[in-house]
Amino acid sequence: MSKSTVITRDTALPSAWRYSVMRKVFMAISGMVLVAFLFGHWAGNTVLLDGELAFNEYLVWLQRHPILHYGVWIVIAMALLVHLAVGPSHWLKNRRARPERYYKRKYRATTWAARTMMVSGLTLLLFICVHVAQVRGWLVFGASDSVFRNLQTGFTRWPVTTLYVLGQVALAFHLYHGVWSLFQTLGAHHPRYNQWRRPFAVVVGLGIAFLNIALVLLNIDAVRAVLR
Amino acid sequence: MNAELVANDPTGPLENRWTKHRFDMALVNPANRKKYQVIVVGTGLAGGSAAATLGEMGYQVKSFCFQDSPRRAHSIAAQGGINAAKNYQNDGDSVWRLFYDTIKGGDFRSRESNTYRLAEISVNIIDQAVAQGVPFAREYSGLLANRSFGGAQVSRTFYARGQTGQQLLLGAYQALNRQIAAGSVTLFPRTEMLELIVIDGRARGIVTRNLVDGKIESHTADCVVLCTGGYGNAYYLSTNAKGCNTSAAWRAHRHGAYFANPCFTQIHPTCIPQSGAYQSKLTLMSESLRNDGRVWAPIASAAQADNAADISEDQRDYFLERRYPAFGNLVPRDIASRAAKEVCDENRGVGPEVNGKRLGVYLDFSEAIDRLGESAIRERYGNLFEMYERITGESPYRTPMRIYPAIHYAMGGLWVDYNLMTSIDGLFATGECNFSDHGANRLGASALMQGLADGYFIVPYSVGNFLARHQAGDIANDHAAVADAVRNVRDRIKRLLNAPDAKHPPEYFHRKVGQILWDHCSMTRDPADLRTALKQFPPLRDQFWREVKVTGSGEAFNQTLERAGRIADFLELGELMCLDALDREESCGSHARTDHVTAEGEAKRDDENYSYVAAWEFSGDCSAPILHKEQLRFEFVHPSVRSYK
Amino acid sequence: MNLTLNIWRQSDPESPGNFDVFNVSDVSPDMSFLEMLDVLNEGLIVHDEEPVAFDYDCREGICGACSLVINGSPHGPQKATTTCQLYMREFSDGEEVWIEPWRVGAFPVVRDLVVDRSAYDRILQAGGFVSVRTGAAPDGNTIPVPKDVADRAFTSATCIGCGACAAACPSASASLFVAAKISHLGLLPQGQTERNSRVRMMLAQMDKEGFGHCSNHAECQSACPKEIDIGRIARMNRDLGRSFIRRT
Repeated sequence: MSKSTVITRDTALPSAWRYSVMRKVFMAISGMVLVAFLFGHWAGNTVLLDGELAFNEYLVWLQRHPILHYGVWIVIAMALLVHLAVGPSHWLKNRRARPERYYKRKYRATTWAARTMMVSGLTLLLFICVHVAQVRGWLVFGASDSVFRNLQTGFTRWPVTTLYVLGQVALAFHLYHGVWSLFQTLGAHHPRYNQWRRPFAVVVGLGIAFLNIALVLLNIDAVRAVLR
Repeated sequence: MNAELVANDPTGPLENRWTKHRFDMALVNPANRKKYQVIVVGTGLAGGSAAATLGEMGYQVKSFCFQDSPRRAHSIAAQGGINAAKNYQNDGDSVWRLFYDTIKGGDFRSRESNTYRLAEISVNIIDQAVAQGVPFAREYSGLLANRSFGGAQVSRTFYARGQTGQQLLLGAYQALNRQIAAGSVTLFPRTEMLELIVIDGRARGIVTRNLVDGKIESHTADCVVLCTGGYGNAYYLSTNAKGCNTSAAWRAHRHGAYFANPCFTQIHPTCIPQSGAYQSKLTLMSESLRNDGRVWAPIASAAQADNAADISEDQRDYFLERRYPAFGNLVPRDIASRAAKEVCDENRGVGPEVNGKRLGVYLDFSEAIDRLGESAIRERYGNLFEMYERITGESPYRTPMRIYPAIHYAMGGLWVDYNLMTSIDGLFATGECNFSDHGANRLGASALMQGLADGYFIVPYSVGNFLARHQAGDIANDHAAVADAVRNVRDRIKRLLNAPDAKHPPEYFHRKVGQILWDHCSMTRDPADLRTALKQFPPLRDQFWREVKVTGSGEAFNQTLERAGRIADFLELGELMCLDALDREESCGSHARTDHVTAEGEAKRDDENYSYVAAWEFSGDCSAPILHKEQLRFEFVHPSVRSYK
Repeated sequence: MNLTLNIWRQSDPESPGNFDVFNVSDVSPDMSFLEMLDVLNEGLIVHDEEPVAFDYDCREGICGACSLVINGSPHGPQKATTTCQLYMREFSDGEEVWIEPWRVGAFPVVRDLVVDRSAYDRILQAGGFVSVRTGAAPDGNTIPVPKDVADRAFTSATCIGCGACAAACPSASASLFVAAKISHLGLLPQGQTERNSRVRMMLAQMDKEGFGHCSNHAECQSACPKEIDIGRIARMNRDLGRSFIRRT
């Protein structure tokens, strides 16, 4: 009797978490959720360009749809949690899996983006904290009730703008590897379509970063003045 | 002259013998099997499959290999394929035909009963391997594909691209893994058998050295199965893996197991020649290359040029086509090899000079490339050409390949009866390690067949048959015979580490014994040469024990020590090979005596006087072993003469 | 040609290691890398020094024993080549060569350049097989396998278990090795019955052995001497997910 036959009955989903591969799958799914959110977030934020009045109306509209509003909150919070639960622990485990480093190392396939997922991820985490704090008015500069004004005042200070741009660069790198990687993790591998995985990751990563940066810049009066 | 050896094979119609014998065998009750311990040494095709099957049957199996994993056994390197009398191609194949081809290919020097059983079991091997998930080549129908191999007139060879040995070994390794997981087999990797424990004439265990920490341990059991491969490495340069050795079989021989037909060693004609004195092994290129390549050498030694293109067409001697017009470049392995050697002995060899000799002939594809186009040739031999270029740095598309024969397989080995039991009670030998089935020459794609037939389908039965007649019983670790064996091993290691005038690394001696064997006991054997060779062994052994230099200690990982021990055994076996070659006053199969040739210069067999298996008993003196003869009787086939003119 | 070799020396798993420097001369371009080390070792023995320990066996690129990281690449600079099939003509006169063992926590160093890869064996023991008894097989042709499926299974089955994938992986993960076996057996009809349990058992064992987790760097497929591709890993992930959805 081989003992493998016994395990087949173990189909309960919670046991999935025990497998590093499944944890990675959950991370990939949460990544997809976060990317989808980023697009929605950007689309909503384009209202910023229409001025404070329009933006406040958008916020009011959101609050009138609590299911959408809080639903999104809960989903992205969960996705972030999954990301945070898997990413750092895997990163640590991976470091421990090679106790003695190579003295000479030559990479042939991996990218800088892939090797710095932890750096870009932590940068993003920092950015998200600052971003939320700024919007909520928790930061010293320009604390007010108006999300719009909190943003605008923030962008008049170069460290905030720089952090925003940095955050977006980190995002681009994170997605350059993350989006490509999630195809692998989720098992989407096909000789005919593989060639599109990397371009897709580039488009998504650069795309979302570019759109966000554009939005930030367009919210800076000086930039708008120049453009006008 | 001693009493004739008995093979214990059944009588009656050939096709019923194995069935009848299986019925006659005693069985061990399934509930009792777990009481018996079986030691299996080696994890290649024979050892892996035997250990897995015995474990599955319920015996307590201990499996040993000197490599770091069972999967590294040298069966992994077999390229061509595995024969089976399935007749899937409907080309008239049958068990009988495979049997006949095998016995004829072996030049009528193997046992009818064994060879027939091999052919009979061949079909089960394929079924077993397929069920295990061995990815054999398939036709578009999804059914198994076959090819004709080594000049066979039927397509009975199953294959997995050029990696059939690898895939079959992985199949056996998977079966072994399953038993290891189930707890029925205990695996001892990086553990080398250094001594056999014999108690009251019966094999009861082995002494091993743990190659990682040097620990010497004894393992006792109810019987011992040796699946330790061939001794081709006695020649130093061969297509064997570097680790292949004869030590387990030789230890058994020194305890009384007869060594049969040691001079039957097979040469493969298409290997990549040696490039320098540092060369550690030779690489085989598939024989299929001779289908499109033309073999030639310069006519005159004066024409030796570094560049084949400098030799004009009229200065080239297509010697195989000239001497064997009917078969041309496709003559059998031994004939092609011998012809190449003769050419090089006439100083007409090509390629770099190694130790003052140019050893190589051209295998030229230029005509085939002109005729079929480079892409057709690439299609057929692309991976082989790539391999050749990787090793030599030359492209066969532009310059002719250089090839030279190399030792490839040992037909000889421990003498076994029909039950694959050696002349020591309870000691079995399977696969290349025994002498059975291939006679004086092995057919292509038959080695894998024999290893798996022995391991999956024969030895598990005969081990049961043996154990059923013996009570299961433990041997105390402090038993005098066990303690003796352990002491022998320790003493020998001490001697290896403390040679009085240590100055040469073990390889120095390996090269020497290899050179003696290659010069005097390889493709052609001359009696005067053999006598010269025989004189060289005793002093070489003396020199070895006086001057071998092994650094490091016995209590740690020490590859030099491992090699030294193996070479010491080759130094003894080599002499037996030459003695056997001198004793066999005929030419048959791989054994080509210069003094036994027909008027046309072809091999001359002597059925009247030499239709026997030469089984040598160790006498205590390596130079004076005792010969026992097992007379071969041919009831069903009539020895005929091979002709390839 | 002449070379400077920096070779990792370590007497046992516990002791710290260091690089020894050797200058070798008269290296022939037709030597294999391992033959170059053989010559070095013979010289060391003659001079009463400990030879460099390294694993080798078949020396024709199929047994998977050899395992050196040469100048930062497992099996050296040449693509689809094991160390034993690497020839010195790939190096240039005067070059400095760095030779290290596989550095993977799950492959502890035995001595010098020799590592213990039994973790790979244990992963396969966990489920890398088809449970068929000897003698219980039906006729081979009763199980037809479409040619393209058989070819793909074969490609995955060519893994030699050398460990270069884990050695090359920035995360020291064994994923490519495990995935190759899962693809080989999972593609074939013979492997379907145990498909779920196989992927589960093997991956659980992989995690237990202390390998890192695949981060999709794809270094493994560049280092693999048999050019097994990371598509196998994608397939393995799919199979594991599938095992939570489908019974068989």
